[in-house]
Amino acid sequence: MLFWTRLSQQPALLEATETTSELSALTPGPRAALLLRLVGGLDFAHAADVLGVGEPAYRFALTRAVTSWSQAHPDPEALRRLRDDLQQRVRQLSAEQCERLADLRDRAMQGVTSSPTSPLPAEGAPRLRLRAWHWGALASLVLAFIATFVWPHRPSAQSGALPPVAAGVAPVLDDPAVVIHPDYPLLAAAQDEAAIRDLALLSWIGAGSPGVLATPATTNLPEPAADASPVAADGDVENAP
Amino acid sequence: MKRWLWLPACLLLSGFVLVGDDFRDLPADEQVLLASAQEHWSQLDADTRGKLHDNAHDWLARPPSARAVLRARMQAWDALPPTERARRRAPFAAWLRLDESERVQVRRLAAEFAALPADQQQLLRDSFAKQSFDSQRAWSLGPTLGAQTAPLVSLFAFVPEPDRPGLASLLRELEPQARIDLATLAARLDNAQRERLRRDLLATPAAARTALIRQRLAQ
Repeated sequence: MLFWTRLSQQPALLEATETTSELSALTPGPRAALLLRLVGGLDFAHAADVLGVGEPAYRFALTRAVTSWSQAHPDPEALRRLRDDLQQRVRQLSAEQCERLADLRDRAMQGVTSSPTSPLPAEGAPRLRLRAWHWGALASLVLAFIATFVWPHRPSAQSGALPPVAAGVAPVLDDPAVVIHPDYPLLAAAQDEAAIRDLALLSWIGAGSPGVLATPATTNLPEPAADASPVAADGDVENAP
Repeated sequence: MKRWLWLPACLLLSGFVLVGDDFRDLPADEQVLLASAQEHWSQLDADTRGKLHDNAHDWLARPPSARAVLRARMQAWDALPPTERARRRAPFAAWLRLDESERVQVRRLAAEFAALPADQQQLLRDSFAKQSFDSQRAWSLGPTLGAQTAPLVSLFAFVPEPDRPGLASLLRELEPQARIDLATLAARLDNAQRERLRRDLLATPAAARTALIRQRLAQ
């Protein structure tokens, strides 16, 4: 799951490139939902897990993608042609690209199986291995997923460094796309941006900056006020109690 | 007015809108905005429906200039690397978990911090950055709970990301004395024992957690 999740978060997957202009009208969420279905072939439940959303939300995103696509491509066969085209690109990857992707896959899977943070109990180990194998078997689908976005389709691509991603084409966000944006609440809270960004720092300051006064390098730091506010209204600093 | 009518009347007067599973119950202008969700509306969970409604409500309340600004912010956001977006989402999620009085306090701190000279701001940032990563994250719980949780930072070490909000809520729900007891207990456990304690606490009903901590402390 980690493998797919990381994959779905690849920057190139979320940005439209000149080679993906057919999908550039879609916003990132619906585009990822569509690709997971078309190229990854994941069922609803697994695709929802990969994107970290509930299955109904995934279905919603997929519907949104298909609707947008259909509006731009009234031909009912267009979607099938897109799928075939994407899968064709996968089959034409160079050996080196495949090798790099396999390496990415291996590293992701190692992250699953050897993570010290894994919360699974010992009895869960066989299941974990099974899942790792399961996801490993899906590696070919990963090739498809990455290849359709990370690298432009260039049959004559030279070995060595991967071709750079072309400059992105920002999708047009119409009003319906804006209101279903998953980060709408965060982006709409512009007035609190600084407070949110520095929440941890500000909380620490508000509690009196504990842990710094005994540090020689920080003895000249302003000390917090008695009311847990480190800075007076005029910008001066009050002494700690 | 009959007593049972008071609650819906108060909700209505306060502008509270219950977002049900019938799409047609939404205001007409919101239905237009959320038309793409209509087919799946009844299957969406209540939280998702509520968020979509809130988004649409907020959008419709904005003047055109504010909409343009938000649209531009959204496009700039979408152009950020996913890792950067994820990094910025974390404090927002923590922000939402604060109560309103804490948000007011942090807003005030932000204004005061912004009024400091740049070199003093940097000194504070540098000092904060010297703490461990987990210590820094603990302060995302807000000034009050962050201070009480800092001694518990070992409980947060190696915690899988999806489990962190649950653990933060757990700490938030504990009584102050129970948090002190938990800090004492966590300090004398090794990593495996802390992991077990964390799992046990999460699996225990909130009302029984204080007793569990005392029991483990007495062992």
